Amino acid sequence: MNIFIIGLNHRTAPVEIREKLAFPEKELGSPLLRLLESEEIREGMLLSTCNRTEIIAVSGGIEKALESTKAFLAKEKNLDSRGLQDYLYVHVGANAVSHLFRVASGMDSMVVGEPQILAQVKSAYSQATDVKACGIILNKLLHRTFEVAKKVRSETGIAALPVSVASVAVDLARQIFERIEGRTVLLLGAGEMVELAAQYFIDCGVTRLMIANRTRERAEALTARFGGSVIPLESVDKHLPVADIVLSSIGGLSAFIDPEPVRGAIDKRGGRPIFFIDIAVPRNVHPKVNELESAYVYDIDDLKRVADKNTQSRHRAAAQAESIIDGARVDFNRWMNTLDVVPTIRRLREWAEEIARGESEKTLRRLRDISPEQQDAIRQMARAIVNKMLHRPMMRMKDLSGGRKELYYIAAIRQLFDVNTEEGPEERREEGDGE
Amino acid sequence: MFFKLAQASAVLYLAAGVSVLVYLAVGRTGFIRAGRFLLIAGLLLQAGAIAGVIHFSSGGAVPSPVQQAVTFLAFAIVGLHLLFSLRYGIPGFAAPIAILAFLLTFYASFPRIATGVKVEETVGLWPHLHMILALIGLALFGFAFLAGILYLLEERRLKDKRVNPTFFRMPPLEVLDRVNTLCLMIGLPLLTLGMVTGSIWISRDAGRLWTWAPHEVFALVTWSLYVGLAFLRFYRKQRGRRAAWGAVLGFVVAVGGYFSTRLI
Repeated sequence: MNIFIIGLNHRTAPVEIREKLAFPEKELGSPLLRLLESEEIREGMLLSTCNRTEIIAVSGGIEKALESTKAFLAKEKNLDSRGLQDYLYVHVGANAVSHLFRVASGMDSMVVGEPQILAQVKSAYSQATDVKACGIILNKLLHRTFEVAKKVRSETGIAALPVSVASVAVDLARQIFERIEGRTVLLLGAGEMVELAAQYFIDCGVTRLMIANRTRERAEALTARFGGSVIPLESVDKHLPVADIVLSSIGGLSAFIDPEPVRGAIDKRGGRPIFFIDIAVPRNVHPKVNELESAYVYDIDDLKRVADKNTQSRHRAAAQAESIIDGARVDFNRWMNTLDVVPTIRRLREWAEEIARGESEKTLRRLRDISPEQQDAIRQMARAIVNKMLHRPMMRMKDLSGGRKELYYIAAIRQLFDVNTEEGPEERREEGDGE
Repeated sequence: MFFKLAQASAVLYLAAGVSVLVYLAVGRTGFIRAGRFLLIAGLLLQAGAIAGVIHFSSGGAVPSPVQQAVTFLAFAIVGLHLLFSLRYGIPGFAAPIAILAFLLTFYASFPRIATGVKVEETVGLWPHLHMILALIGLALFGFAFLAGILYLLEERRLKDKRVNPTFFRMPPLEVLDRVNTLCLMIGLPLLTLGMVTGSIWISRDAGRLWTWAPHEVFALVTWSLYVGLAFLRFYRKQRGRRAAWGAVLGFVVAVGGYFSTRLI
C-alpha cells in the first residue's frame, strides 16, 4: 500500500502550463471520480490552486498507478502526456507524506508561510470525502496534515510576519491604528503599484478611498473599480485631515507634501496619527514630516528593509517547521506500517499463543501428580486449539491482501483483538528505511 | 500562610512574565496561553492571601500595612489586565504587567523584621473603603504607566524605523493610548473617592477633615497632577506621546509619594 503525489507547482511549471492543468477549485469531485475508475487507485484527492495542481492518492501497485494517474491528467486536460512529463513531480511513500505536510503548512508556497493554502487543502479534502474518495489512509493522513499545519503555525510564528511591501505597509498601519477596518486611505497616483495596494487595502477592510492623480481619467477608472472619490491633486492638503493612511506614488514630482499642512491636518484630527506610505522615487513626502508628532513616514526603502528582516526570521522559522514536519512524517510512517498484513497476523498469533501458554501453565500448577508426558500433552492441546481457531481467519486475511477491502479487515482485527503492531521489531526496521 | 501564598504567586507572576517575553521574542502563541494561565493562577493564590489577611488575622507573621497595600495593588493590576484583555487584543502587554506584579508581590512576600513600632490598627469601614478605592485608582494609574512606557518605546521604534518581529507582536499605539484614557477616566474618580473616604476616616479619628500629614499632602499633589492630566486630555484633546509622558510622570509621583510618606 503506497501513498503517492503527482503534481506541478509554481517552481516546476510556468503559469501557462499551470493554467491549463488547473481544475475549478469548487468542482473537484467529478474529475476525482474519473480518476478512481482506474483499478490501481484505492483512494484519492485532487488539490488545485492558482499555484499548483496535485493528485494525492493511495495505490496497491505503484508503477501502474503512476502511469494511469499521468494518463488521467493528460486526458482530462487534452494534453500530450509526454510533454506534460517535464513539469510533473512525483513523490512516493514517506516523501509524499512530508510533501503534503509542507504544502499544507505553507512551506512550499510562493510566499513561505502564507496561510490560504491550508484552507484550500481543507476544501479539497472535504470535496474528496463528499464523493467518498478517501479511505482509511487518506483520512488519517489529512487529519495528521491539519494538525501539523496548525502546529507549524502556532509554534514557529511563520505566518505572522508580513514579507511583501504592501503587506508590510498594512501591518505597520495595524501597529498604529487599533484596526484598519473602516479607515480612510488617500491614494496619490493611479499606477500599477497603487492599484495593487488599493486592492490589498480593500481586502483588509478599508472602507473609504480618495484618489488624486495627474490625469483624472485614470483615477476615475480606479474609483470605478474600488469605489471612492476623485479629488484634484492641488487640493490634497485640504483633504489630509480625513485621511488615516496616505499612499503616494507619483513619479517625477519633488516632495510636495510639506510639514506645515500635515501639522495643521493632525491638529484638526485632534492629534490622531496619519501614516504616510511613500513608494514614489523621488519621494513625494518631505522627510521632515516624519519628525512631526503623530505623523509616520515610511518610504520604499524603509518598507523593503522591514520586509527583508521579516524574510530572514521567516527562514529561521522555516527550519523549525521542517523539524516538526520530519517528526510527524516518522510518526505517520510508523502508523502506515502497522497496516501491513504480515505483522498483524504475527502479533495476533503471538497474542493467542501467549494466552494458551499462560492458561496451560496455570492448569499444570494445580495438577501436581502427572507425568512429564501428560504435561506435554496438555501444553500441546492448548496450542492446537489456538492454531485451529486462528487457521481460517488467517487464511482469509492472506487471500484478501492486495484487495480493496484489505485495510478494513486489518483495521478491524486490530480493533477487535486490541492487537498493537507498532512495537514490533519489523516496524522498527522499516521505519529506518524511510528516506 | 500569607507569606507562603504570596511567595507562590510571586513565582507564578515571574513565570508568566518570562513566558510572555519568550512569546515576544519567538512568536509562539503557546507561550501567550501559558502566560495567561500562570497569571490567573497567581491571581487566585494572591486572592487567597488577601482573604487570609482579612478573615484569619490570627497569630504568626502578619504583613505590614505597606505590604498589604502592595499586595492588593499587584492583585488589582493583574485583575485589570485580565479584564482589559477581554476587550482588547493586547497579548504582549502581559509581559510588563506580570513583571510589575512580580516585583510588588515579591516585596510583600517576606515578613519584615519588627522595628519595635506598633503597627497601627486599620479596621473599620472607612479605612478599608479608603484603601481599596485609592489602591484600585493607583493600580489603574500603574496600568496607564506601563501603557505609556510601551507607547513611548514603540513610537520611538516606529519613528526611527527600527521595527523588528517583536514590534509586530506589541499592541497598536492607538490601543495603548485608549488604555491610557480609560485608566484616567476610571482612575481619577476612584482616587477622588479614595481621598474623600480618607478624609472621613481622619475626621473620625482627629476631628478634622485635613491634618496636613505628609501622606495627605502627597495625595493632594498626586490628585492635582491627575486632574491636570485629565484636563489636558479631555479638554485640550491631548493624546499620543505627550499623554504617555503624563501617565508615566503621574505614576512616578504617585508611587514615590506613597512610599516615601509610608516608609518615613
